[in-house]
Amino acid sequence: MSTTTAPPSPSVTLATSPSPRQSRFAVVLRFALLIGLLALVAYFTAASDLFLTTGNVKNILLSSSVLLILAVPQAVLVIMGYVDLSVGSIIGLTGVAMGVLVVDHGMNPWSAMFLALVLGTVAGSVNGVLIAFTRLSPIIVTLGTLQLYRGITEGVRQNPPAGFGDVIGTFGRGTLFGIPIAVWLSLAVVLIGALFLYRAPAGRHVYAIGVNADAAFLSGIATRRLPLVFYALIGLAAGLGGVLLAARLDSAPPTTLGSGMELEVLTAVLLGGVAFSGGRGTMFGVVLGVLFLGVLSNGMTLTNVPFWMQSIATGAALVVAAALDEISQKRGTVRRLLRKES
Amino acid sequence: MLAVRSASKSYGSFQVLHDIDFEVRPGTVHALLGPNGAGKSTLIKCISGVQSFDRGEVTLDGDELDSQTPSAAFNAGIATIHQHLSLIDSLSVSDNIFLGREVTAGPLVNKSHQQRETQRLLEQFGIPVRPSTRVGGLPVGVKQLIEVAKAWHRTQIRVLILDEPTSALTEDETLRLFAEVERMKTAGVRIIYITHRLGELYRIADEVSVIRDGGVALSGPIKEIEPQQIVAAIAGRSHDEGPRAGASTRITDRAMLRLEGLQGPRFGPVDVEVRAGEIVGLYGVLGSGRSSCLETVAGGFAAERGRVVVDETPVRNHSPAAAIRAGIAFVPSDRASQALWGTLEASANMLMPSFREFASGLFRSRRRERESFHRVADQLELQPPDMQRAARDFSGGNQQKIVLGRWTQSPSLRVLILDEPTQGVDVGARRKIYETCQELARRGVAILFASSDADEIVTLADRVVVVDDGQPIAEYTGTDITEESLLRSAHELI
Repeated sequence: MSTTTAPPSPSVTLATSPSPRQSRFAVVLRFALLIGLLALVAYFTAASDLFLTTGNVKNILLSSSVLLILAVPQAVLVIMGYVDLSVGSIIGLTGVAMGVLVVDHGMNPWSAMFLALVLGTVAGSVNGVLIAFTRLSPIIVTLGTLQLYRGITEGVRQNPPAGFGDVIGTFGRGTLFGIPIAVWLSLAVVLIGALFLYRAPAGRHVYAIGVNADAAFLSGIATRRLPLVFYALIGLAAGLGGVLLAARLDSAPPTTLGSGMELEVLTAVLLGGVAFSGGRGTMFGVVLGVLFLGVLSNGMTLTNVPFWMQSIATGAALVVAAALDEISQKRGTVRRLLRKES
Repeated sequence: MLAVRSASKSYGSFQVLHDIDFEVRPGTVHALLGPNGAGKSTLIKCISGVQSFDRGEVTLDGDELDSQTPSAAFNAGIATIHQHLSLIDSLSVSDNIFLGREVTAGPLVNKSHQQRETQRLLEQFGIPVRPSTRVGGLPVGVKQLIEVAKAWHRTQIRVLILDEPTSALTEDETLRLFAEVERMKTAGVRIIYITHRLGELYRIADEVSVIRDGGVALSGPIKEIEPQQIVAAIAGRSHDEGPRAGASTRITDRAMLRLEGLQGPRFGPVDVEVRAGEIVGLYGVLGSGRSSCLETVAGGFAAERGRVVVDETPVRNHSPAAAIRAGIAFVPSDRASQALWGTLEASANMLMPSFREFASGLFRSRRRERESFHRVADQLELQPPDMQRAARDFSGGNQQKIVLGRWTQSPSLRVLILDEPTQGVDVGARRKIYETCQELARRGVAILFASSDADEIVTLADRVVVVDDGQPIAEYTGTDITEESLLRSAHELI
């Protein structure tokens, strides 16, 4: 059977269909967090007369401000496929350092705050250099420095320095146009973060590194420098957080200042729809994630819900949000599942 | 008999296989040849259950095979040995053979029983290793035989698919593999043997089929087919004339790209010069070192020795960023993993390296980005010209246009490097990509591309360097570039 047949010419039709339109269901899923937040606000408003008052809204914003300041650079890192678990300890380190400088050495408060920010930036840069140049896992490095920085902090001073004076006190409790200074600072950070992510050229590079680092490298994008810069920036943000938290407390307890913040920040970022595997996330989502946690904690305290139930609610919200996000990403998954059922 | 009848398969709007008929009789070796992207691997994937045909049927000894999954196909007796082996290097031979099907005594693995069984199997296959040896240190050829033995142990092999098994083997290992194939033949196994090397066909095959453009271009017993017929079938239709027209007016005397004794992972030393306006092709089979050579030029790998010179200036701090600054653009062969951000929109994919140039001050200029995107999309006939659409939602050809467009719009482009420029690209887009390359060459860009498709080289290249084992072995210019000359020199069929 020595037959020779000419190959048929391939029929090529060009794909001209419009971008796949998302189903109504997917749209609902995308805004699930916003809907959840609004539902939460509605519930607490009904449950407590104190919830929706000017004073309490200010309270929520104030208690969320440090979280927000840290969530912005953390979101950028996670979108790039990195993460920083050491921020809680950098907050402790910088807050205590500022306290020691002012209380024990009588330093000028402005210089002390400035040095705390520098120290935070250095601590963040150490993470960044280790991760960018040794290719160690970001989780391992920052888990290590989480312990390391806390250890240094506790070694420096065992009992909390307290009583920082008026200048620093202003950053803790002062207001500008009736709004706490910490809230103004957090709004500035969000604005800068959003401008960077959506308007600066390197903002798009963040996504490129997260989606496909190899392609980004071959396209000449600074795949090492950009994460390094953001580790330094999140250190700076943690330094600012340390100053603000210590100022608000007028005390810097070495063991507890900022402790556990790293997971709270990560929870807010992931709740806000940033993919832990990188490549996806929005500033709007991150702000919602922070507000969701702030409203949940504030409202539950007002309605006298015990703390352990707050933990259950936060944990459940994170897992549900991740599940909804996963479903909305996999186009057609739901339909396929339904078809298999029938 | 394994028979595939009038089978078709499409990926999206692109039809890969049209009405394929293909059969393998028990105890025979059926060799499968064809250029890359012709549909060989799709055919294999459909037979081995990784994918399924859209239309048509597969029967094995008269029973219809309805294998939806690779494991169902495997249980029906269809074993595939891929180029990339599935053995786990850190485990011993016997642990690999029994992986996932461990023989247990109570809650523990019965090691001694497994080792005895493995010993028996190794003797049967004549593999001179002990069952407790770690697989990692063994030569590729031995690993391949172990892989066959593993499949043999796990299922009643009725069909054995070998995907370019000799591409990484030494001559000795090849001989041993052929002996094993002979043994399988006498056991009545049907063997599908995919290869790029014509020389092997006459040593091992009983029947041969050439797949081209999704159809069977040639099929029959090897005894009745001349090598020239096979070469002609792989090369296919006589290509359109004209692409090289104007080459003489295009090519200048100015050496735009020079590789001087360049040596890197698995290639070199290579000395090649590409003049401004010239299109030079690197031709060689898979694994000939051409891809790593190109990636080194583009800065993806560090050169071990030698240097890259662009327009008489050596490229310093060799990295992709430095290469781009020097005017070198690179279109890699593996689009999905090296060139595309699948979930990002088309405009980001096309303009990512240029956002800085378009920016005014600190911020990006949406207007300039939009204008640039639409200008390039028009030039390349991007379908659909939708800048918001995610890159993964485009067809392969249009994805390639996006990647190419990333560099064509840059006025500082001086050297364009393409690796398999039309892999997984449909015919229409392919022509557009060739035209774009010629247009760029007319602008004075030096183009160096690699391809394992002889037809592509003949269509596009002004000059071709044939590469084998990481080194240039022959060079042809102008009308001397024919499919026959290329296939002969690359397939050791002199």
